[in-house]
Amino acid sequence: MLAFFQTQHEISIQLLWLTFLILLVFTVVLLVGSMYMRWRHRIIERKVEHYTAYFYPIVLEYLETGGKEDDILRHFKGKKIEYAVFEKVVIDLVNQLQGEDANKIRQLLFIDPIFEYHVKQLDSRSDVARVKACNYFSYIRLVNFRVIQKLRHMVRDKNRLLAFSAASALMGSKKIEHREYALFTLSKRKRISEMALLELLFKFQYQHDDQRDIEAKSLRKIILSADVPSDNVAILILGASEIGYFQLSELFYKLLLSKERKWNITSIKIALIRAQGYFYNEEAAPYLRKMMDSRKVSVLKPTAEVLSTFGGDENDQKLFEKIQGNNEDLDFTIMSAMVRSGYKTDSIIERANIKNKVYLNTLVEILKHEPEMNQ
Amino acid sequence: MNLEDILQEFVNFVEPLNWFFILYFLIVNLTYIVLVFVSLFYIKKQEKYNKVFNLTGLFQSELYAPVSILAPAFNEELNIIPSVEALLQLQYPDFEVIVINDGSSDATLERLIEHFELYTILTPKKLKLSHKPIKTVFKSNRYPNLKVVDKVNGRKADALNAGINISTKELLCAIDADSILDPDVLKKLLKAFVEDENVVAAGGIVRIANGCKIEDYIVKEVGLPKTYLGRIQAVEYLRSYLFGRVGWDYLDSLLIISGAFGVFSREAVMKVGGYLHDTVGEDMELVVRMHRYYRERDLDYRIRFLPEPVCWTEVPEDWSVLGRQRNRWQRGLADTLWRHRKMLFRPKFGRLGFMAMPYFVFVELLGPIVELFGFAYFFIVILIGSLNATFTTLFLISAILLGIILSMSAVICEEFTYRRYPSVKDVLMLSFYAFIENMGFRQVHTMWRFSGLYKFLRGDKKWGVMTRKGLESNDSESVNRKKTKEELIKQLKSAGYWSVVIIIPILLLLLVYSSVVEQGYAPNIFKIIGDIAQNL
Repeated sequence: MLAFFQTQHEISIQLLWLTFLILLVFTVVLLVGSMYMRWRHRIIERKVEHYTAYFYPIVLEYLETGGKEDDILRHFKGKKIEYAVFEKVVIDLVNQLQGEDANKIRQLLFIDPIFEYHVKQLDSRSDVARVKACNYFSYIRLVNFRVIQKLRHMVRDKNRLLAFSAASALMGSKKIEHREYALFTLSKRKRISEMALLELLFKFQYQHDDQRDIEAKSLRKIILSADVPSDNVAILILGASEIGYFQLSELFYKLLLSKERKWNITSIKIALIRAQGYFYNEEAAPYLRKMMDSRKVSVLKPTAEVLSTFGGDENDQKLFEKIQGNNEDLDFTIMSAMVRSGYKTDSIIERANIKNKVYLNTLVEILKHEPEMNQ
Repeated sequence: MNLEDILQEFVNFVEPLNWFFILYFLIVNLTYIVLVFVSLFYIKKQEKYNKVFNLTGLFQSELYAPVSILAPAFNEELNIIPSVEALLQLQYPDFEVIVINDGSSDATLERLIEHFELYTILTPKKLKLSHKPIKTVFKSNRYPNLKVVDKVNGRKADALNAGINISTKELLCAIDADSILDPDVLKKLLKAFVEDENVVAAGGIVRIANGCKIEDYIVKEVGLPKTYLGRIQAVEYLRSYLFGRVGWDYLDSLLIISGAFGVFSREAVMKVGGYLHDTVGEDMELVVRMHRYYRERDLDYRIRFLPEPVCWTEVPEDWSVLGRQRNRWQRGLADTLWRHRKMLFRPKFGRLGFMAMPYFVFVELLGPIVELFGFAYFFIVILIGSLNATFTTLFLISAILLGIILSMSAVICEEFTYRRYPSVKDVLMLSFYAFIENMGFRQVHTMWRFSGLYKFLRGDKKWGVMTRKGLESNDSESVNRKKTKEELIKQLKSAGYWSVVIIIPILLLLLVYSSVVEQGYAPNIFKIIGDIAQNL
């Protein structure tokens, strides 16, 4: 029995020795590892500094003397870091310069090794590498056929960041069908944030106005599609109106009047009401005046804002009619909406038919300092 | 019955629990190791994403999500002006700053009124969240996006609720009034909301400002704190954020967003009823309540932690203040877990109910009891000499090495990704403190946590006084104290803590030495000295 316990004890000590040694090695590895990482990082930093100092004068000389891209290529020795630093130098300078100089330097981003490197990266297994490549194509706004095929494939990727980056890159294409495809595909996704969709919509506009009409056509198609979730439709309507696609004003007015269920979903209705304000579509005023009888404060607020933007006796009359002095929430909503659209607080108070002075003073004080409060 | 008998009784009582201790030790450390591995890969992935994912067009639009920054302030006269000034300089297109003066008894409000040229506006009547009465609401003549709420003291949660009521923006950013935010922090943190529209809350990393060079309330140069306690906390914070929260975020089971810095959807906070007043762990409680609310209703939501956006905070470098802070944290943890005990092991709560909650209950909450028992057991066993010295030493050293490995993993995570500490000396120093943290400080910390748990059971919900030096005034101005009785007690306590920190490594060294002697690898110096003394 004693011998058994002694053996057990010895085994446990041996096991502990083993654990201790493993942990000790692990600790040393971690310590050395963190030192090694710092050292490695420093070496990379120095290399980056070296190549930055090397490429800056070369790029500036190219700009001043009007050299050729081939001359630049001679300076590369084929190392990956050279291209990365070179790309960074060029992008830095493009951001600092303007006009022709910037455009000329931008041409350097198209040199073969860099372009081919990023095309290859599109096939990488790493999502991060692919997002990086997408960012490059998004930046240079040159998308050729080979790249387009890959990007179109990526827009459907499960990874939303990758899909978003690929869509952003496709927005660099001059051809509307690619941009439309990117926006449509992303809009169909249920779980895409408002911010991401708006950003894409901003990128959707081509630099030149000559595409405005076909862009509006595309947007119309996307907004009317049954595949796009209603929240996304509302964002697209709001974004398109804010950007100023006047070609869509008629459509938005028709949709506002529509009795179809989809166009009466609150988020879409609000977007359509706001759109009338952005487009200054006074034709919508009679309908909006009717909307002022709605019980939903969320709908009343944008309606009141748009009607105050339009101004005019009929609209004013309707607005003041609704300020009755017995519903603080409603009164404040309408009055603050009017203030936001440029009405002076005093003039509202003068015309409003509110008999309770304390109540009135309260609203005045809040409106003077807090037009946006209690939105 | 003499002392030795009592100790022997204790050992006999605890002996059958040996396997429990060993099992507990293994499970806890296995969980930590899993978290470390998950975090190492996940944090690197996130860092890469952050590098490549740039928002450009978004900030040209007028339709981004605006933010209300809520900064509760209680007796913050030292820091309040530079702190609010810095908040107003943040890089973000649409935000408002709401400072809530929570019944300060010093000149916090006067300083705010004078510096920001505040004028009174009317207090809104219909307030959705309840809190102690608001006395006055001010707006600034100098900054249109600054509001100050002066209210009756009701503690931090109460102040935050008042701020939420006054706020008008879509997102809420809750911070401490003395927190220093990196200028681009909102842009970085808001990425979480861009990536996933179901995100209802997101927290960033809190780093230690002590030792950093700060100008105009912006961290210009990162440095390590200069004191023992500051440095130990630097390691602790790295460990807690870089592999604790990152790991839980990966597992979609994050239960804490630091009160020093977190962004919440206003709608979500309103839905769950705002912060709870009668708790000292309001930050954790809100997050757990959000989880519970959304899971019980089967709604899609996410609560995220991003390690890139940084908030800097001043940590206590005084034993008493730190002790009170840790005691409060433990009470807050206990309170939250008790309130939401129904989430434990309920399938509806998924990983939260089966992983995160049990971890917090058995490791974070009950850990101090087990650890304290363990320490006491080892100490007594050594004292009465009833255990093999080699076995004890090896076990203790292995436990300490595991602790070191975990802390070192956080240091390596930092090296792997953000490298905020600039010099190699800093990395070495962090590694050294990761080493010594486990001998002395860890035991004192366990004691504070144990005391917190005990106080919770007794129903103590006091906040505890937190004195701050002021981040930009680490000079002689603030060191003009009278030697009062309180001060003397405080110093005595400090001396006690220091003695633990010194004695434990000495004991450990003695233990190592005695096991070496036992193995016959070294002569027994004590015996030799004894012999010499006898001969003399």
